[in-house]
Amino acid sequence: MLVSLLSIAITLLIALLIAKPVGIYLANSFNYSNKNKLFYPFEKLIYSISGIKNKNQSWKVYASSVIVINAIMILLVYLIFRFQGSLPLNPSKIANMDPSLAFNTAVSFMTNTNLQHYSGESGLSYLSQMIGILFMMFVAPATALAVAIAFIRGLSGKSLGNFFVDMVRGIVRVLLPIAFVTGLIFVALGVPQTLDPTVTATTVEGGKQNIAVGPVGSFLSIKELGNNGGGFFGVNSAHPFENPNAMSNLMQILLMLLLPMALPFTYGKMVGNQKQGRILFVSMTMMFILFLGISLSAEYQGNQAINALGVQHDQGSMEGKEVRFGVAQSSLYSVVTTASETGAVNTMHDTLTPLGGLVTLSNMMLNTVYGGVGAGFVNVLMYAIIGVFLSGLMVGRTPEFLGKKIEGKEMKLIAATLLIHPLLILGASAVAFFTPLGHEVISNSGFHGISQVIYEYTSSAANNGSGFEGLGDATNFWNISTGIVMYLGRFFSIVTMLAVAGSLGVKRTVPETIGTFRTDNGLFAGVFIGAVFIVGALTFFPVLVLGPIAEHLTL
Amino acid sequence: MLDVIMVLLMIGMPALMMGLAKWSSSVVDEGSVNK
Repeated sequence: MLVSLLSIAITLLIALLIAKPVGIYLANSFNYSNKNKLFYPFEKLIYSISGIKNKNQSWKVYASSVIVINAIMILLVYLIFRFQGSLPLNPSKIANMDPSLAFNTAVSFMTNTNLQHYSGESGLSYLSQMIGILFMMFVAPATALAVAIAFIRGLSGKSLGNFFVDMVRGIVRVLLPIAFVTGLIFVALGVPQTLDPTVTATTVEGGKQNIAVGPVGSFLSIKELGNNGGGFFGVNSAHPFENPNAMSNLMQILLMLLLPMALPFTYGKMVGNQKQGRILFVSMTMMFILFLGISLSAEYQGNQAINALGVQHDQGSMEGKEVRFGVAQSSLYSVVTTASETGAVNTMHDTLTPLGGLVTLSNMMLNTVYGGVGAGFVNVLMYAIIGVFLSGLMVGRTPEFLGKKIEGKEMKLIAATLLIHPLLILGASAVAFFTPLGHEVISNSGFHGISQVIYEYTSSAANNGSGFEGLGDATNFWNISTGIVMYLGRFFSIVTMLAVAGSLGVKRTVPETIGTFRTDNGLFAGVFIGAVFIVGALTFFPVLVLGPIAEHLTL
Repeated sequence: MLDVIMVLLMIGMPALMMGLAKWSSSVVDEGSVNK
């Protein structure tokens, strides 16, 4: 156990050490005056082919660009999925996807969710995997990264920039180079990268077994780096071809954390005060360590009901876990994948202990313990503003954030953003429980069944995409309902938070005085964490009591 | 038939978001004490 905990400590230490340099690199990458000699020629070529002009956009034009370009891409990819059976690069003769599943998959990948109601190796042709899925795995995180950068620019009183330029820069300077290098490393570690069809092998008993292969290496790197999470194989990173050994597992965890951990430092650099970013980073890391500690403790203690039968449980709860990774790396992976809203899994979350499941749910409900690339950090800044606003109310001063006065109109937009997340999760879950189409596919009765449904919609609304499994969700009802939840969970907050950025961006900066509530010290860290937990707990605690907490207490 | 419903959803949801942008714009354009 000590060695396992040491491996976790080393993993997190590496992640912490690389966060700041990557954050600074991100800030420089989105600085328009930075014409990098290596990347700028490629960008210039893309701009000239596509007619992109680097003109500043108002928040409305920026948001409209995000909505329209994403809508077009969803439609195009939907068509690829619907006609994949007749399109090239389909050596395994995979049939066209059903309409509702194609809708769910297109929305899922374009919203950076990667919720999968199909098995990649048997549901998608190579063309669909490479042109549809892989394409969206770059564009979706680049979109969120662009929105986060625009939001930070607005907070620091600058113009929001140009969405198309930001998206191109995000892909060319950040996602492509890192994904290319790490993709090669994954292939060197034993991950397949081939366009050959499924291999048919003869087993020792003389039977035939189909072994799926494909361009997994290139898929895997952007899956983790972009906090996408969709697996090439149905069992995701529990599959030996998608996660062959301890080193590939370490690489995946580091890639998942890379951009979410770096963004606070990008923020600090862009607003000209590294303390601002550092305090948010420290706050999020404290919450992350708290959740990781709960998960590890629960998983090492194992299932109390099984322990009571006298079954040897020295290794902790190994149900649903890969023996190659054990409890420590499985718990760490489950906490990282939900904290970073990636959604990749190397263990089945349905078989986590109730408290282990509670941690994964909480990460997605709060969506601020690092959060997914871009969108998660915008959420973090939203909670920071809420903290400042509440503190202002308590001392009777007009709240200020980075020298900008927070007024009713910003809080109106933030309140709408804050409410949509629980409304989507709890509203959709209520509909699922109420209708036979929803509750008839729940495979567990009692409290665990509640957790299954809540998890599915929480994962959708937070754009995480991991599945609790055990839910028969490949039906029209689940495909359409989770598709709508994923879409609104993604784009509602993008629109409203860009409006907040636009509103704050045009305000003059108020000089700091002795009465200004500082947002770069320990007190603010407490206010921020308090705002996250109080708002999160108030909203989701009742449903958590009905699900994982009740299950834990009745084991 | 299901294809038509899916396409309508894929057009309708972005349209809804454009409506949200319009509402957000009206909120932002409310009077400010500190422009």
